[in-house]
Amino acid sequence: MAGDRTGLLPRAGAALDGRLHAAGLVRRTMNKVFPDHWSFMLGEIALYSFVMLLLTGTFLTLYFDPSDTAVRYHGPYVPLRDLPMSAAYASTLRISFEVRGGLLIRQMHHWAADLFLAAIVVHMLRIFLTGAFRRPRELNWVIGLLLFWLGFVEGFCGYSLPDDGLSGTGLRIAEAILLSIPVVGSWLATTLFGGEFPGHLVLGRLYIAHVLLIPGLLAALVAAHLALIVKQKHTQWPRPGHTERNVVGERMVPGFAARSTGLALSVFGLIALLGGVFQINPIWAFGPYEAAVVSAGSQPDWYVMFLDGGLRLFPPWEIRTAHHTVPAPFWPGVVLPGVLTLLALAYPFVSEWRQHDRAHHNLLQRPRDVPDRTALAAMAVTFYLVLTVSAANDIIAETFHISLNAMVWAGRIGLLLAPPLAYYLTRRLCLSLQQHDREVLGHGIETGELVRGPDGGYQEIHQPLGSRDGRPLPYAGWAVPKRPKRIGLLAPAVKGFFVPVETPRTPLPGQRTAADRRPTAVTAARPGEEHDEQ
Amino acid sequence: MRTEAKVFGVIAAFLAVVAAGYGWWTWYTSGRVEAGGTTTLGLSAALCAMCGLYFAFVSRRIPLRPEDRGDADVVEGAGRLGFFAPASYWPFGIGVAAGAGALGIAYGQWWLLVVGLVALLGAAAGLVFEYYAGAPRAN
Repeated sequence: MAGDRTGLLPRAGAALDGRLHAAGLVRRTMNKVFPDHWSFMLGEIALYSFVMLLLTGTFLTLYFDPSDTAVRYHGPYVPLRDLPMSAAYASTLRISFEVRGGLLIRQMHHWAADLFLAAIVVHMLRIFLTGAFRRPRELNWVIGLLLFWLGFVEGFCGYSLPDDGLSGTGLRIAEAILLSIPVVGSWLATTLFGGEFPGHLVLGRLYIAHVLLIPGLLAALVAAHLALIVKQKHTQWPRPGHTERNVVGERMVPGFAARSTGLALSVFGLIALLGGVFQINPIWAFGPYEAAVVSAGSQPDWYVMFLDGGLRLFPPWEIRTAHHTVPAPFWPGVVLPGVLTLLALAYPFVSEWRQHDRAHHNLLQRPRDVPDRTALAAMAVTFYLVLTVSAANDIIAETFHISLNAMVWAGRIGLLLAPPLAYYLTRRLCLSLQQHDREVLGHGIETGELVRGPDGGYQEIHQPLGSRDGRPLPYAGWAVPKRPKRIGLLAPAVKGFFVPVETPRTPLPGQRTAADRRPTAVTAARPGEEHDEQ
Repeated sequence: MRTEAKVFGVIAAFLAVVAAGYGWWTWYTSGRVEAGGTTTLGLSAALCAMCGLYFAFVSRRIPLRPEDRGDADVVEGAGRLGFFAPASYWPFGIGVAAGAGALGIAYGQWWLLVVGLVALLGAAAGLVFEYYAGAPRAN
């Protein structure tokens, strides 16, 4: 195969390389090795959702008009006919009802945004729980957190753009949060809105932020995020042959590229399915925004709900000093997300400093092996969930006929009590799981084979995992086999659904076949045959 | 195995009688059969009858065990009894799935019933195949 330069492909390749000198780079890229685990694909789901956002967003810009010029609606949607509204809202209605495929693309755009942030959150949890943020990857953790917040702001700008009843309400809340900042609040708000809310400038500003500034920043940070992964290499699980100094996995081409392409197409397909089948943000049902109207049951998108929940739960404490007032929304609206972000940003550095850990870590940790960190994550997730559920407390109160005040107080008490409880339970769970791993390593796998002794006593046969001299294996930081089938005690299943499609192999000595389960085998078997008895 | 078959058969017969009596009694006092309790008792009888029949069939197929004979020694029963799953979370999953399906019936939420049934099938398959599915093929 080498030296053959007469075919079309080799000649084209040679011609390209003569101009681009890219052969070395391409070869290195194609041979780049990626470790394999399902949890490493979570970040890719976010990446492909982002690609889908760019594609569908580009389509939407062709038809969307970010202007608040007052128009009267003359489109096909009868309930809104002849109502005064902004050109932005009218053009969103046009995308939904008149542009061919417009509603599908709009809904896909919205679903992709929700999926993007969901994938980011789950990906961050994976990184945190497995310790993938540790040295040398702290910077990528910081970039990831910035990506989350950028995605958050990008999503907020996006659903504020159609100027429907719901998005105007969200914008009003954002303005209230801005206003609540001591000293500079009113200046910030009037600067952003160009005067009093809602003003005439904000839609245009949101639009340029939504289609140019933030996507540009997002794309740049995504590129930096990926470049850092390429440069620092991917982390891997501690398995046989995996060390701190190597990367074991599949090459980019063909294995990883094929898998990743499959995932990309699946993500695209899922978004198309969601956008095509499940309605999201039906702006025609909300009506055009009127600054004086807030509809009951207004809900932000899921990723904003925790902030909304904080605003709903925080008590109306207003601090009045000599010249300034610090209104209540300042604490849940500005301080809370600020503190959460700072804690997350500082975590890798603080934990390095506290544990005097200056080493490079390329091997991941199982969540159970670092109980305190895992418990901390459970605590954070519980805190977040209580806030998120509280953002829907009016809906829950109405649906289940609970008093809204009771929901608020349940949220307040839950916010203080549930996270410590989650911390305690998770920590105990981790320690128990560790103990069970050690127990299996020390005493062997429970085979489920029950034997009755000559004295009439019952005993279960254990399959030791250690060496023949009876010493237990040391824990290797990876899953301990806990089922007989994991260590080959079970003869391989015969392929075929209704009828076998292959001749069954003779089981190896000691292997159990499915036929042994039948009760006829009860009398046929002899005590503990071919098993290493404990 | 005859003894086991008899035990279950007696319980099944008792439950069947109680189910019939309960149905008649509720009809006699209130004018209509109380469906919930009658169904529960009837199904319990059917379940016990099923176990009893199974034991009866198996007892015809296998030779007498030491437990079944009056003159047996303890030592005769020594040996391998068979495979019993040592631990499993799947019964919990089955319970959750069945509970969801039952809630679906109770509240007339048929989508929940469908979800519960599908989950029940999955959980039952998980329970049955837990110690067999996913065994490595090459060794």
